[in-house]
Amino acid sequence: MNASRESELVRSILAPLDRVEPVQRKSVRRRRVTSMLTLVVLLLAATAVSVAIGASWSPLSGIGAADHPARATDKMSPAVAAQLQSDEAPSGTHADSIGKRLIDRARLLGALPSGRQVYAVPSADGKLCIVVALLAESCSDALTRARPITFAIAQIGPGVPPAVWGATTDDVVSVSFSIGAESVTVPVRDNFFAWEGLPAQFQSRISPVTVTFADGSTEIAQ
Amino acid sequence: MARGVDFEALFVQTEYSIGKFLVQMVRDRQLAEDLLQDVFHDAFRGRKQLASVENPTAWLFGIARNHALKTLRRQRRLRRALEVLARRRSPDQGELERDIVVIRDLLERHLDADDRALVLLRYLHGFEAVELAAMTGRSPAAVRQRLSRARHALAVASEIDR
Repeated sequence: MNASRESELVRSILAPLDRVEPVQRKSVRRRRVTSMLTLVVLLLAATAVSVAIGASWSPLSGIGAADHPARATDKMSPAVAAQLQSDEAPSGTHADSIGKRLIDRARLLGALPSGRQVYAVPSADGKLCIVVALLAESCSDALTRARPITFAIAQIGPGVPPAVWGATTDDVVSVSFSIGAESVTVPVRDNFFAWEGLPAQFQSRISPVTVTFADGSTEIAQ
Repeated sequence: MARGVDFEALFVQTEYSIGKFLVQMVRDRQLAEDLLQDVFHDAFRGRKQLASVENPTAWLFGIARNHALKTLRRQRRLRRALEVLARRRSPDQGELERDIVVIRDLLERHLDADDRALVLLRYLHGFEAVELAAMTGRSPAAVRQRLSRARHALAVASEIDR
C-alpha cells in the first residue's frame, strides 16, 4: 500500500474521533456581544482559587454590599430579566457552563456614569454574573481574596466613551490602570467601581489593573 | 496582562479544536477539561513568547500535546482499569461512542502516546510536518518518518482487525 493510500486509510479510521464533543474551559464566559450593539467586553479575571462551598455560601459571598435581603431597588425590570434569559445557553448542553441566572437573587451594585444600572446576579451553577442593564453581562467564578475583582471593559466604537466597571471583595479600596497615556485610579464604593473615559479613548489600550486593599497592599490582577 | 484582544482572540479561535484534541487523546472528559484549563493557564503565563512564534495555533497545540502526554504517562494503568469498568457499565453506548472506543483501543494497542498525538495532530487537525517538528523539537524528516511508521502500523492493524 503506498503512502497516499495509507494516509487515506488512516483518515477514515480516525474519522469518528473527529466527531467527539470538545471540552470547554470551566469557568468564564469571556466575551459577550449583544445583538443590539457592537460591543467588545473583556472580562479580566484573576487566577481562580477553589472555594469550599458551605451551606451558607453563595456567589455573592464576599461582596458585603450585596449580602442583604432583597430590596425594592434590587428588582430588575422585565427587559433586563429578558436580557439575561436570552444569554442563557440551552440547559444541559456543553455550552451551558454558567447555569440559570437566579434573577430573584440579583442585587443592585451601582450604576455606570452613563446611568445604566449594574447588578450582581448569582447563577445556579455558582457563578457570579455582573450585569449592565440592557448592555452587557460577564460571568466568572465567585470572588475570593486571590481573585478579588471582576473587571469588564466596553469599547464600543468611535464617539462612544470607553467604560470599565466591576465588583470587588470587601477589602478592596481602589483599582488603578492606565488607558493610553492617562493613569486612572477608581475608588471602590460598596464593592463596586465604575469609570468612563473620553470618546477619543475608545481605542486606547488598557494596562494591567492594580488592586489596592484596605491594608495598603497592592497586587496586579491577572 | 497579555494584550487582551489578540490573546483572547487566539483562545476563542482555538478553544474548540484544542478541547477536541484533548478529548481525543485522554478519553476521560473530566480530565480533558482539567487539562484544557492547564493548557490555557500555561499559555497565558507564557504569552510573551507569542511575539516570536510563527504559528500561535501550533504553539498552543504544542502545549496541549505536552500536557496530554505527561498525563497519559502518569495515568496509563489507572485509565485502563477505569475504561474497562466504564464499558461494563455502559451497555447502551451509542454507536458513535462504541466506534470511538474501538478506535482508541486500536490506537493505544499499536502506537505509543507520542505517535498517537502525532497522528491526531496530522490527520485530524491538519498540522504539517514542519509545524509538528516545532511542537515536538524533532526535525521535519524525523516527524515524517515517525508518521510513516505510525501510518503503516495502523494500516496493517486495521487489515488484521477486519
